[in-house]
Amino acid sequence: MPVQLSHKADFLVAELPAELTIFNVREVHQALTPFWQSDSLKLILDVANLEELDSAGVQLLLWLLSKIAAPAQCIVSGSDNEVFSRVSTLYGLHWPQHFEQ
Amino acid sequence: MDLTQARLLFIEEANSLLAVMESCLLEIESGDAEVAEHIDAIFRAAHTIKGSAGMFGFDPVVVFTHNVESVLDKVRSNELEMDAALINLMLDCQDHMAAMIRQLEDETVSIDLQQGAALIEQLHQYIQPQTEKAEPVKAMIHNSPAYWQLDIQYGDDVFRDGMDPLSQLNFLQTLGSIENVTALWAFPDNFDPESCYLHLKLDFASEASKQQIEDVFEFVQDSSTVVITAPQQIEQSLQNIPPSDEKLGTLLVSVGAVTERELQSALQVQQQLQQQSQKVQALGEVLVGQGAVSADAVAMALDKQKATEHKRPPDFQFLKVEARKLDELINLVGELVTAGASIDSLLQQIEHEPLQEAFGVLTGLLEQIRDGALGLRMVQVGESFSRLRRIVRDVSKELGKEIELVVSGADTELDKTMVEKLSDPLMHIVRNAVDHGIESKEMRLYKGKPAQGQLKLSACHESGSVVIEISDDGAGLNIERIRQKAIEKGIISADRELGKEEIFKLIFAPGFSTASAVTNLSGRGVGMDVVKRNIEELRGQIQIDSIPDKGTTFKIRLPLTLAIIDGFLVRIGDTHLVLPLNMVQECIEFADLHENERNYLDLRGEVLPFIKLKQLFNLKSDAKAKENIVVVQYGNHKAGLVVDQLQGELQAVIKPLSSMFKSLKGIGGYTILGSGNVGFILDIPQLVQFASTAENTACHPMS
Repeated sequence: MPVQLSHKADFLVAELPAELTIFNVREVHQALTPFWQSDSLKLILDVANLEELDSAGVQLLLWLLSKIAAPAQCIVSGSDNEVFSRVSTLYGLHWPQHFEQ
Repeated sequence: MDLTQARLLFIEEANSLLAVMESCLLEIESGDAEVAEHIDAIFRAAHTIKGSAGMFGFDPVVVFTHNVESVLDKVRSNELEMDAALINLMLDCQDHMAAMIRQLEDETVSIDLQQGAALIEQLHQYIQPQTEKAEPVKAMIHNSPAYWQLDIQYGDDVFRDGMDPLSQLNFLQTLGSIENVTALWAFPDNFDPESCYLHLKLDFASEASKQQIEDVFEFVQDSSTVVITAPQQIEQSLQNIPPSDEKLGTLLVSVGAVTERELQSALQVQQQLQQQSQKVQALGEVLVGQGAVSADAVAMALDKQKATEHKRPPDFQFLKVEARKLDELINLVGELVTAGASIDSLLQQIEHEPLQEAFGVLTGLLEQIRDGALGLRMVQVGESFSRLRRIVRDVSKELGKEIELVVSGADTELDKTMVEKLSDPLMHIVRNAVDHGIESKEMRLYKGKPAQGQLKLSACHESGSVVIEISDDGAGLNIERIRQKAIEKGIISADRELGKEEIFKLIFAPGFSTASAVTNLSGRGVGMDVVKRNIEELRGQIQIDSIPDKGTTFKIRLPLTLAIIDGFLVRIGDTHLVLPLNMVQECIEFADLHENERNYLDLRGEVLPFIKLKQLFNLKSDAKAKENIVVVQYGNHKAGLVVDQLQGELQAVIKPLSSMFKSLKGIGGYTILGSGNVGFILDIPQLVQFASTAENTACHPMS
């Protein structure tokens, strides 16, 4: 599985693989597609394991966040990951870290 | 070439370079030109004079000019600003250099050595490093970070093509600092994770060139839209470049505002539009439309181009040809014209149509050669005007008057000899206008006029003549004072009634002056008579028009050339007379007209005074011969000349009358006709004036 999924309380945690690049974005996209259509989802994207991230990967994450509309919510966890952090800074991106109450 | 000849050439060249230097400085001072437009020409003038003087061992000229050149060099490299004080100093230096050159020509001319030393001292103050004054614009641009704006709309296939915008951002960081990145996206419903939907906008602080930045995106150029907007400083550097002959695109590329690729892309768009028969868009518009450059930068670049178009450095405009060679050529052309006329008259005696047609073609070519050869002697009248600019500046400063000099039509061409001979009369009229015509600042304000007076110099072509006007907005001529002065000086009798125009003409009488104070500049009562004589020697005429408190206008009308004219040949008895064709209006048979006691006739409701040339020149003719009237016009005046036979057009090479016949009125010169006979060239202005005055006197016998 490109994405490890697990439920923690009422959250769905999607643990992203070590590589999120043009070579596997289609796979990850397909794996995540069923979830963004859910109405009451609280999705946690865990990026802690990322070792390789390119623009296609960043774009996929942006797409996912743009698709999940309230009341569904999505946050990013593990954003202090070095690779993720560097790429985010280069793109000037700020990711949601907490669910809104 | 011997040394004397070379020395003369140096003097001539130096004088001409000094004239260039002066006119350029004056144009900068008056705001007619930017420093950048003329500094190279001014520098080159000083540099060439110094170099040539060194070859001849004229050390004082070399030393002085070297100092001038050093200051100019600093202006050229933007280390010094050419402000009013420096322009003044440069004009004083130009005067000093001119005096030094005059001394080489004439040893009796003395040089004010103290003044020279003082000027060198002043120049040294500029030559010493002055960090406060010097603001190297270019250095400023390079030292401060330049903020570029990048806008990259990535194409769909960027990821699939193996390109990663992240790699580009990483590489961009090696050239500078990325600031304020904004990532934008617009995902479609059928989102494809392998397609790129990213759009990046960022500010980039870097000293890299536009080309270097563009190279970072080289591999996505075909699939994406990359717009790089140069920082303001880069575009403003256009202001600091000298006027250029380069094309707009090259100019923008040279300052780094546009890259070669952007230029090529814009040119392609332009070409495509042309092929599609759409309205052709200017290159600047296309570049702005593509976001390659701002409209302001294009406007600035176009200004630099326009500046070159109109203000090409004067020292590159001419090719020097020895006057002797030119005169020889024109003489030969004159002989050719005479020989042509001779063949023409022979051809008329034989009936050979093909030969006549072939000769017609040859005549056409001859006319072109004639006009071309005469054109070589033509110079712009502006040469005289630029000398006047200095006079107006100096005289108005001396008198404490503010005078604006407005010049128009300086590119009007006139025979070189005439321009040279015109110089003194023009100078005199202008000095008079500045000294006596335009009132003092206080008087002008009192009269409700602007404190700054205006002097206009204009030249234009008007029906085969050149008309030069010098007009001021001063006090105007005082008719009553002129009349009184003329009576006092015994020029006219106290009981003589004169019209306005005739009173104005009194100022041309020898020894006439109304100036209440004699200044250094004018008012000595000599001059205006000489002015009139000089102009008449050029076959010209001078007229005055003046309105009290509105100003005075001197109108000088001159023939275009002194050498060859298109003429109209007429005959009285055995005497051949030539009239300048451009002054001939029409010809009518005299016998058909009702003759009255006085010499005027009714020409379609218009009163036309006429002169019987037979009587005027006391010529013998066949009493039974039919007479004709040639109607001629000069300026606003028309007159008829009664002659026997009309013989048609010809080209006449004007030969001057011997000094013995100079006093002969109505004849301006002579020419050799094709038949070998002598034809007298009539001086139409004098004859028209004579006819008008004679008829006027007959109408008003009391005056």
